[in-house]
Amino acid sequence: MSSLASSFLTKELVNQGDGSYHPKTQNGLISVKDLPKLMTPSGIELSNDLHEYIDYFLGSYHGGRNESYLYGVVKGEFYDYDLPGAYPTAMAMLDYPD
Amino acid sequence: MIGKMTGSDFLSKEGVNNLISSYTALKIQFEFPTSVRFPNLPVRLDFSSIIFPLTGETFCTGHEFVLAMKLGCKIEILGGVIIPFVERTQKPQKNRKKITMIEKREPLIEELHRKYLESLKTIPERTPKKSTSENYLFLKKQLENTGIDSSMKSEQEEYRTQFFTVVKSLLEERLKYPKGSYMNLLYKFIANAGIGQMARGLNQKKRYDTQTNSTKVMPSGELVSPLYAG
Repeated sequence: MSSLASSFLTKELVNQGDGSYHPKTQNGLISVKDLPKLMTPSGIELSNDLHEYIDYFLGSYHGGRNESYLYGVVKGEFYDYDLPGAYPTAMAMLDYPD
Repeated sequence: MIGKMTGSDFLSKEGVNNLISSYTALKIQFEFPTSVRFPNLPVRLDFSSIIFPLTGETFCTGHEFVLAMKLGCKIEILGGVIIPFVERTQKPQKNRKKITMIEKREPLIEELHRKYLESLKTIPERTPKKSTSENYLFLKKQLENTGIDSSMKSEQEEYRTQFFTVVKSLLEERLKYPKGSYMNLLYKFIANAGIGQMARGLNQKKRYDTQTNSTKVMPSGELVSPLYAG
């Protein structure tokens, strides 16, 4: 199922867009999506300043936060807040990087 | 690249709108007032634990920075990057192709759809709590509340990002089917999977591989990008 979703979204976002999904390749060799290659001695040297700013984006990725605001036995009503459609709504607000 | 400066200087220089409509990542030192009960800035303790303390040093996105400033946090920026969204007026969308829905292209979806239609003949359809039109209006209102409609109009025509178009098409297609049905859940899954696919393989996590009966580092896909994931 994941690969089906991946292949559909790749077609619609990467292939069918205006080609701006991934930022331009540096020196025709290294792009943002080639992370394993980028974080090597030759990758860093050949990527101009790409490796410098990619650190900040990798570091700031933390995944989702799920938290109980109170702990222990709860008697009576309690509320469980959830955001319906949070991921697609956030994705709809994205745009291609300049 | 962003040099060292205080959080308030950075906020007044860039403005909230620029920080939200861009890919921003910062390294900061921060201190929330003790009156803040739930600080929003994550700090890693080790490879598996993240806490949200009142003071610390961390990496964060532009959105997290704006929220922390609203909570009265004192921030010192140590470094960072801003990549703005593409200039909207430069990208007229007249020739953009209409999304072709997947059931017209993927045999697997056609098969699922056929099975779903067959199942309707034998099993009584589950009654959704809300009618499809009520659901649609609710979700449409949610999208409108994001402000995308009003903020993306150019002088000549209304702008739609490719992301917005894809999400909207998936939402509309999903709502053609009753809640809880195969197709409704499938479109919901595809829409939700997008963000996960953008972050796939970033943290080099290992997954069990049934073919080799061993664990392997999860490979990244075509959609992966640290910019979109953050």
